[in-house]
Amino acid sequence: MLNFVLDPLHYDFFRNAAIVGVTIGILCPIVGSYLVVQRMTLLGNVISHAVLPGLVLANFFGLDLLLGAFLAGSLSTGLVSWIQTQPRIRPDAAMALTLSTFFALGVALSSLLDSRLDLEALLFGDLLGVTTRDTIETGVITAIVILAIVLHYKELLFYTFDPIGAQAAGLPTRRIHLGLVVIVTLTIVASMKTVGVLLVVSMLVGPAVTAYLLVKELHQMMALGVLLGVLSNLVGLLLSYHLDLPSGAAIAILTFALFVIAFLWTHWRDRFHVSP
Amino acid sequence: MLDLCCVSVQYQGVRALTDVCLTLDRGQLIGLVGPNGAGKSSLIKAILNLVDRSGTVTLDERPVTCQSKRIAYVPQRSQIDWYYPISAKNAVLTAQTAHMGWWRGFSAQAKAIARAAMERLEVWELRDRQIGELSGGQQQRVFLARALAQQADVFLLDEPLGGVDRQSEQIVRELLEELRDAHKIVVVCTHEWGDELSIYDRLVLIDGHVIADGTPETVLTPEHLTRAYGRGLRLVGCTHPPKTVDPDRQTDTTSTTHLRRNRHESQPQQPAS
Repeated sequence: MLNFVLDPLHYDFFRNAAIVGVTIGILCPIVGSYLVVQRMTLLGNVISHAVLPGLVLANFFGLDLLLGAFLAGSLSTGLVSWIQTQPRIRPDAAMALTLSTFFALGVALSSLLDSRLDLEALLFGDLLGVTTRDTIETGVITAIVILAIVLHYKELLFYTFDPIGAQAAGLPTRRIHLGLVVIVTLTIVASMKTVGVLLVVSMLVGPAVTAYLLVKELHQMMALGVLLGVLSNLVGLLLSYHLDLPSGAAIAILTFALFVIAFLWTHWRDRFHVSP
Repeated sequence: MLDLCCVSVQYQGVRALTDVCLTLDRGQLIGLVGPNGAGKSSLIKAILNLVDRSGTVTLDERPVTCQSKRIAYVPQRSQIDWYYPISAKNAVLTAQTAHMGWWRGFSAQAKAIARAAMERLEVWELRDRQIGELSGGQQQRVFLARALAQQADVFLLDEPLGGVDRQSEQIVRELLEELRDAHKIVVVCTHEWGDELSIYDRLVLIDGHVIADGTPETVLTPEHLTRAYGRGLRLVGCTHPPKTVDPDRQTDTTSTTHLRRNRHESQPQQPAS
């Protein structure tokens, strides 16, 4: 059992992957908690798919891939908001349309520009191909995002709990919403190299929604989500190494397994245990 | 003084409110009454600048937009996500968010204010419960405690007595009267009828515009009610002047104003929210 854990640690690539995995396991559940409580988890899906044209164009023009991804992700959320100014169109339709259009645009641009981007790695993740630079970038983004959340925790709590009440109380809710969108986009950009754009949503949503079943306060949801996120990342990495599985897929499946355990536990608790 | 001048609200080309002009003084408990879709909630949201509106709303001759901290809002229960992971105590504490400023946690004073508000509404012992675990009346009291913790001068409440138990109702009514006696401006959007309206110093009957504004006996006339609710409603057992009904004393049945549809039409219902 100990060899199962220790053997991979002899390799640099695995150590880098473990560090990034822990970092993402901390970052994604914290940010994902806000998506879950606002019932905006689809927005994470939109952004993660919408980054593709940004990545292709950034690669074509020789710019930083993270910059291209960030700009494309931000543009997609702006488009969703604009579409929703037509009240007949519900959020899910606006998101589905934007997600598919941006993703298609990315695929088309990749073909037209004869992009040399490793699309498979971007879509499905390549945690075991993480470099030291990737590790540092992920760490810096994680530190910035978590610092922003800590400094604005009470405002974010009020806004995500009662946006109308927050606006009535004089909080700058549009700025707070924009800030949240930026945080989510940064998180996805930081995570996409490791778990891939298609599966990053599982890291954003899975640990957070699992914790949501079990706790009563937002900060507890974040803390437990972090524990679950780190656990699923590390164990998923080990399984990926030993069983030769794609790392993103292994992590996503493990995340869902933890959710099922929590769901069954909650179901049993609610059925057989009466609160005082 | 809260002054509304020619306030109109429009949603997707449909006028919800037209040219509402009201002056609300301190030390008044004001009830907004009217049928469904009359614009009662829209009026409250217009005061708070939560909806696009024309006209002006000033508090002590200054625009309300720069005085949000002085206005406390208690929303309808249907607007709240009761599954949100937050305890009753932290829900009340959010009232102090704007007071604290950015990049700071809640001070000991802020926590003391929240505690005092919760004790006044008799929900302090429920402080660690997740808000979804509370009864309807307890939830409403938590949100009233939040409004109280804001230490505002104006209180806008949207159907605070909808679906609450008797104990909560009594606590809420006492609080409304206390706020009035403390020279606050208290505006309550309500679907109540009968004796419950007697606590209001002033009623404003609305149906897209102000139909009547004054004491309950001057507002609740057959003519005004017909204009608001249409034909088929008539008053039963209305006497003047209305008196406050104290549930601990003998009920004064002569002060009740009831509505009943003509016998060939359906029974009257509480206008649904």
